[in-house]
Amino acid sequence: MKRSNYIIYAMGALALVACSKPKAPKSIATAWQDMHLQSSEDTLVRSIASNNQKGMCLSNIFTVDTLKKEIAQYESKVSGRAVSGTWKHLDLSTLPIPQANFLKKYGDKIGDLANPESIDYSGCGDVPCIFNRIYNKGNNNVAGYVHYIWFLKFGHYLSADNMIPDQRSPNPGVYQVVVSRPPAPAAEVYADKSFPISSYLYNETELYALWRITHLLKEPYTNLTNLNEVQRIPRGVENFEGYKVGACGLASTAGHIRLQDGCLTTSMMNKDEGFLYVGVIHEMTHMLDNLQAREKRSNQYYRSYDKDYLDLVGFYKHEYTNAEGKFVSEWKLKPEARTIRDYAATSPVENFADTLAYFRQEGDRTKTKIDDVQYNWISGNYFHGDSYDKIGNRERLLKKYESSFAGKALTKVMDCTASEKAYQSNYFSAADFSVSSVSPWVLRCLSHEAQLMASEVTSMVKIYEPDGCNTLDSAQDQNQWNVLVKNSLRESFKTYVTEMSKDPAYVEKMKSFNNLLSSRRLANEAFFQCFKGSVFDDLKSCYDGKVTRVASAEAINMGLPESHAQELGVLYSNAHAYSRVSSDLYNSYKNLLDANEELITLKSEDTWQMCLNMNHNDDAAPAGTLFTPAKGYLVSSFFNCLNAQMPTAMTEFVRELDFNGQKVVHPIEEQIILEFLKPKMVTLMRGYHETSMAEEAQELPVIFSQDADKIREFLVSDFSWVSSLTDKSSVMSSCRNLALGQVTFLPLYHLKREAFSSLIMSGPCQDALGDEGYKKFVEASQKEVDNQIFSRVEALLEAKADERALHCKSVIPWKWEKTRVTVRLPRKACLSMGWKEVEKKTVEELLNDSVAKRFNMKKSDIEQKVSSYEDVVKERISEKHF
Amino acid sequence: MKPILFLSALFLISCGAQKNDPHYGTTTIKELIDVKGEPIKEEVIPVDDSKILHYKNDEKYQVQNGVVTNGYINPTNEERTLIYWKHAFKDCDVKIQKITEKIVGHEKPEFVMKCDAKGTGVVYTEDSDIVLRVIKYETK
Repeated sequence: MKRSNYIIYAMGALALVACSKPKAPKSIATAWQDMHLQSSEDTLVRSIASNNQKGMCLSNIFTVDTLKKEIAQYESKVSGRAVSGTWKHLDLSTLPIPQANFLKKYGDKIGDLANPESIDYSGCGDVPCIFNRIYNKGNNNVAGYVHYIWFLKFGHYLSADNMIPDQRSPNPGVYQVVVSRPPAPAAEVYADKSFPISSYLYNETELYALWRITHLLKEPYTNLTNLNEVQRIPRGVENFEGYKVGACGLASTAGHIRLQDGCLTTSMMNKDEGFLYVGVIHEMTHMLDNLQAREKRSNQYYRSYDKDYLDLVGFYKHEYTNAEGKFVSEWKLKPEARTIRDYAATSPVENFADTLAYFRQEGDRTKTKIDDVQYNWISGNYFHGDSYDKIGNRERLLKKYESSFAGKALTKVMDCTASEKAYQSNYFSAADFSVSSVSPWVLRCLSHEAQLMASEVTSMVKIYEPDGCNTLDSAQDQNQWNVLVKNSLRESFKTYVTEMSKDPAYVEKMKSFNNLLSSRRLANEAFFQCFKGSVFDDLKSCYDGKVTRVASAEAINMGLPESHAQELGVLYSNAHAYSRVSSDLYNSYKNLLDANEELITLKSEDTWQMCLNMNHNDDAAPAGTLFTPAKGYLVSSFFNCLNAQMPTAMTEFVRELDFNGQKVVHPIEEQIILEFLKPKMVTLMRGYHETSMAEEAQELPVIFSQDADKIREFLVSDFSWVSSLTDKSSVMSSCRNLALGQVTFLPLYHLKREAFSSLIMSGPCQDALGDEGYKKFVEASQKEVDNQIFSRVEALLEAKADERALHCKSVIPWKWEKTRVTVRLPRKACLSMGWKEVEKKTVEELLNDSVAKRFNMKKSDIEQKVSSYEDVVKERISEKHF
Repeated sequence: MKPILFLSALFLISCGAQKNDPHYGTTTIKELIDVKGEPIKEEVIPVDDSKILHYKNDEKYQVQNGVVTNGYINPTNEERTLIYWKHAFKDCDVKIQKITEKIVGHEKPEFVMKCDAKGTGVVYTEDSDIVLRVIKYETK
């Protein structure tokens, strides 16, 4: 090579370096997706669709085979460090990571917890088998697979056990039923009742519906990090703990959902319909409502309490303190407000849960019942701009499958251009293509291929989409769908036919673009560029615009015509719809975290231990909101340490995270992972807190017993702390306050007052009040009170009455022309009229006495004593003055 | 250097400034309006000679016979956590009252935790670590 050539190449290289745009850091999610999303779920869809027979719907493929394939796809997406430990006979390190994670987290919460050995799990090699043993079914049963898929999809436990969170009885398998319901205000009477494990399990119809729900819901429902389990209440016709027969369920922010029979009804005619869908989604939406408020740290306990939602629906809060001093707080709804049903009008929380649930399951009904503004707000904020009325479903499903047309359409155009086979299809007419180069042979070939594609897409929609059959229910629905599909196919085919006629190299260029079409790189980068700081933000509008622009620019770079670039940008955008990209991205991170559960636990334990080992006090105010204990207390030094250290521990974890050598270098990725990591770490910390709190609670009486004698001695050494001679509760209260100061032990997980109050009251204070010294003190003090207060009553009252009498004399003077009687009677009346004031002044002066104050003497006691002298003093004063 | 010191001092003064909270039980409606301005709206409540004055940020004041008796405000920063108030009330004889008379739907009942010595109560939901509202009243 000539020297001049080197210079030219060097300059060229320099120019390339200089001109190329700064490259975005590689994302760990893209690396993960390159490995795991190669064979997308379309494989499953296609394998099913290719075997589809007319009329099949999602319910027709509810088989063990389908569920196994689905599980295989989920599991293939999680790779990483094997999980250590065992569950009964199983070595967790030999199991797929999600199964091992499930058993590690929930292994001791499944099955018959009253009699764990009653279920024989021997021979089971996977989680579905374990669930099927609980169901007392063979391994070829859908139940075990549905329970496991629920965990894979949502990350929490669809319970198959007999211990209901928050149940009254401490015994598994025992639930209380209402045996008497007297008229209010009397309390209901409950009695224990035992239920077999089978009554806590779902039947096959319910299992299908629950499986369908795993297909209905996407994120944010798949990220309910505040939910641990969904528990079925024993089936039956009784009134359970506070819930009537036919009641639906309850979502507890303690982390569980309870489902009763009333939540689990399905239609006999159509398995895709029934209250179960609305009921279960409603309860899950409560969790979402709470989680969003928590994650966004708004002022509220529920997101639906935020002003924007209240204004959207028309709720407002009526709050005041009533005449009895009690705080009253009630929700009111503006009369013109429109709600999906009456129940949704009861509060913002119920409105939110109900409206979102109906929005997802009964789109057409929701569209007609609620205000358009609210309908669009829900669509935009919780369903990525999608809607589930029939029109919305058709548009959404077409968009979803349209991208798969594109790749195929190009191949078919190429094949048909070269083919000499005689096809008979007239799906397209000549008028559909304005290009003269389309021969009748080619037209029929394209028609044939398009018709097959349309049929395949329709089959896929019906069979695989949870809304498919309901959307294409009537002949009219089907016709409208066919028209949409045909128009879309025609546009795809037309573009390729047109461009091929103009540019012979078009096919090669399009092949490059097709490769790009399957890559997530551009989509992920567009998503990152739109990210606003929280996974709860809906980025759809930003993303849609950005991804189209980026893909169009890439198409132009590939040499594709500018006139076509915009269309290709849209094609790429449709192939990488926001809901799917965000969902896959978030799932990538969740799977990465799942694969590194042990490292998260390690970091959390280290942080907890480090903070535990420091010296503690409760002086400073608690600062920070990252970690807060769910119950009980945490001394401020410990609390503040955790809140200060957790961000460091989380950042360290993210920096150590590695996928096949790819680290987290993208700043937005770090933010997203931190957001997913936070609830996991907080949950672990809360677990440590709860365990430590329970341990401390057991130790408290022992610790206190060491100080009890010393405190008792202190209390009886000097009774100056006694605050009242008549009010025992006041005495006990002052005794407790003094004794608390003598307790040297500082509990870490309980408020000192809560930890020791009852021990102090029932111990040293009770003893002190029974002490001889106390009795003597009371007697002596009583004398002091008698001397200082009660003995002065008569004289003081007389003095005050004297003043009144003089006043009466001045206003009713004696005159010679009046008789003594006519003067005396009015004066006496004057004294009586002012008597209340006389007594009041007397009482006030006595109450201000230092002894009265010292013993917190009751006003009523002094008033009673003062009143007892009324007649005597009045008589004496009348004699003296009138 | 000097301007920095001056600005720092100004910042400290402004940050350390006391909120213009009414003295519950003594501040009159006129004094309240002098400080807070005219309310956004007034609401009638079923208590004799009483009404609620609404201000921005969902701040409300209850007035009876022309005297401010209660304030209802949203918690800010750490005040949103229940543990903050448990710590603040740790030396108080705390009283806890259930607010929710009737459970509607699936909501957990709300409670108010009051410290009369501080004239402050906080509203929270059962089993929750989040404070929804702060109530102010005359200290006892």
